[in-house]
Amino acid sequence: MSNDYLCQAENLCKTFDSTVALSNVNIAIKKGEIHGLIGENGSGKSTFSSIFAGIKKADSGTMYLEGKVYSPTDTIDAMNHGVSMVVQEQNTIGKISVAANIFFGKEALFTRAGFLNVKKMNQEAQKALESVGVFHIKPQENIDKLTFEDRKLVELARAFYTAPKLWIVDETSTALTVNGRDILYKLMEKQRKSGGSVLFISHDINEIMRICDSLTILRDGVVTAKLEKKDFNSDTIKTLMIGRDISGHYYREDNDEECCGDTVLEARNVSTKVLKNVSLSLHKGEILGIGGLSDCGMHDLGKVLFGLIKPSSGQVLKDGKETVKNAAWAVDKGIAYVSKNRDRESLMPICSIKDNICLPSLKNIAKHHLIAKKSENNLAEKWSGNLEVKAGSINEYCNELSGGNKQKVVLAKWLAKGSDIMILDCPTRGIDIGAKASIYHLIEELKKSGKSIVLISEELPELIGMSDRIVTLQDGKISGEFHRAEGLSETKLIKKMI
Amino acid sequence: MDKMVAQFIGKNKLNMKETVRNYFSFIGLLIVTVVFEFLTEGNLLQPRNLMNIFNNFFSIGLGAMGVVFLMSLGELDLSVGAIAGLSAALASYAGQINLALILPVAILTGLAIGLLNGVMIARLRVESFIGTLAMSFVVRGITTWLLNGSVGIPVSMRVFDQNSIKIFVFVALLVALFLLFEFSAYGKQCRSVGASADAARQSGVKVEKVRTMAFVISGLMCGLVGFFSLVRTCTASSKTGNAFEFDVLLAVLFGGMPLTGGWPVKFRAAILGSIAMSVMKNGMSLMGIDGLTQQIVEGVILIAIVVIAFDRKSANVIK
Repeated sequence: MSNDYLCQAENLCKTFDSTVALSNVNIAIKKGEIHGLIGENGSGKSTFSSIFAGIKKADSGTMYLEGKVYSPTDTIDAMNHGVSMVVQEQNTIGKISVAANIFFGKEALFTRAGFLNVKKMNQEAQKALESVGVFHIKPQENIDKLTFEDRKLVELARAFYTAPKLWIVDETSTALTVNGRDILYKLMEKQRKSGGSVLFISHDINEIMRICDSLTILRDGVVTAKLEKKDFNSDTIKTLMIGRDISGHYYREDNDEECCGDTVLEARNVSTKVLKNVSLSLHKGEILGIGGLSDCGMHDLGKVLFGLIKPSSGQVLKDGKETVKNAAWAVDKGIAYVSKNRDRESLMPICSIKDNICLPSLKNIAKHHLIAKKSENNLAEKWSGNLEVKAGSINEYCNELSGGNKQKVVLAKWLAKGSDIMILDCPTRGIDIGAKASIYHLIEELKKSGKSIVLISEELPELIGMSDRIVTLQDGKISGEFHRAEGLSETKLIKKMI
Repeated sequence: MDKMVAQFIGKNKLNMKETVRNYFSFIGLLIVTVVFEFLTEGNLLQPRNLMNIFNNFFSIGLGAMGVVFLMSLGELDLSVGAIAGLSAALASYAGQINLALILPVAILTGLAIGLLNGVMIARLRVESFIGTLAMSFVVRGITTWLLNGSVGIPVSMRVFDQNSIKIFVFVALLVALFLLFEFSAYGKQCRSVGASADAARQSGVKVEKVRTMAFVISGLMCGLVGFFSLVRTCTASSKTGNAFEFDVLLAVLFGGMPLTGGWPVKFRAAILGSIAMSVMKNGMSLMGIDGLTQQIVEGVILIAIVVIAFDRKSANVIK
């Protein structure tokens, strides 16, 4: 056993029912390195990390930590061995304070004679937060008052407080904005300098290439390559991930900024708690990008346009005459909305693909108020087929699908409805590159067929790559407008956003 | 972390749970029937006794079919007994004016209180468990105050207590509600709202309207239950519909109804569960078990069902 390695996995195998999640996977992580793990959704990277973090057991294979056989019984055992993980989903406990979250399960540290010394715990929590470079969160604050990102930062503080030898960061960066990512990157750097290791899991090739020292690529549960930093090349990595060549055509290739037809959807002097006097219009056949920092109000703007949030003043007009009343009205009139929060708002997870796709169209496929099983099946088969949703059948539950496939189901639902205006809030959030490419392709097809699209996104390359026109928001106000042009750069947009 | 663990061990376990749930109603009914057929020494399935079972089943079944919609929303209605009671009471007073008013008054009373429940839960956002429990107190109070003992209607009204009429009414409602639940947009919207109110709203479902309607349906069925209870005994008393909410709840749970609502809710849970429930009640009566003991047995069974059939980790049994 070489001493350079902090941990190793040999011939790990794991199957779920008939699905092979991992097949003879060998991964070795050196001391003091940031090791990347990349692969499409369903490639087995989360399975691997959860085995290492003690959440799940491998069917066969051996793991070593500092040369000794390591087989954690659960996450706490793993933590005691020095392996700590931060996951993509929100993982804080609601209704209690930030400090209580950081020291959850470790209250004994601050307990004397059965009483919890809250003051001491808060002080220690403050230190824990400061040690990860977070100064704006107060330990006594209720966790529910925090934004999604701040809660994520609390999780980072919690994970880091245990001073782990191996720190597993599972797709955490997608939940963070630029600021939060900076904190995350600094922490990973700190971990490396102190001689510990990081296993960094991400979809984002650029991020992986920038941060990691070495990289393991997984495809369908098999390690397809191990690369050192000097061999990093984004096209090679893409090809190894997907198994086919997809470099080149990704975003739209044309640079024409079409100035399009009539105004189909329009916000007039809209104000809400967050938005301040926002006016904009969407034209037929246009892709209108909306960008900004995550709390600039752009997500609220999407909801306002769809009638989910009522503006306190101003109005939203469809075709320049009718006011958008509520979501049900909007759906009826051919407006579709894809939420940023896919699992909670766009999809019913414990529900079949079929029922999810048919939901907005139920009244359309009913005959004499009754819906035949056959017409449901036809509609769902047609659109899940068109969008190539990867699933055993349309009766499969959506919670069993990968992020990309879930998003395809959401889009299929609106295509089945035949909506003309699509409001897409972060449509490619947390989705692997293969599914991303097909969603971009779809958006382009929709534009060509005359549909109008509002694309709200936190990813600037996506906005620049896809939009005819980009509107940036800052603190609830429109701060800039850009037209599609070859020289449009991220820096120009960022200037207007901050 | 629990959520993640559940996600990872999810697949196998879900399938097993699903199988149990899918056949729970059939298995439960079979066991109950066999056990009581044995315990009553074959008296249970005698033709004459079958009619007794049907009479018992009739009101529980009506009530259970009524609550399917709101249960698929993940809500509860603990006021069904009270609604049946008030419907019977008001109908009996209406009968003193004109006999033709009895049925419409009973139905309208149920409908009106169902609407109140619906508005309270859908618009004012009161938890259904608390809201309908409170409503049941209010309605019971009004009933007792109104009746001041008991009020009778002419015995001639017993013509409506014929089996032929009851079977016809039951089958007609069964078909109508089954189609509404399994094959109409409304029924599917109910389950969607139960699965995720946010996702349903964002797919164009009028969530508040769907919720309100579900309580109206339940109220309406309770109005009918009140009517048939009135014409059977020809008196309305403050005891009418007593503990009926418990019978209905136990019946649907017996049928494998998940308290969390959503797409796993099946209409047959109401029917099979009501049959099992009435077989059980009838079997115990045949064995000479008194009412109090029956209550104890039913309570214990309710707990047992919840223990066996529900994934307590992921389900908030009472929200």
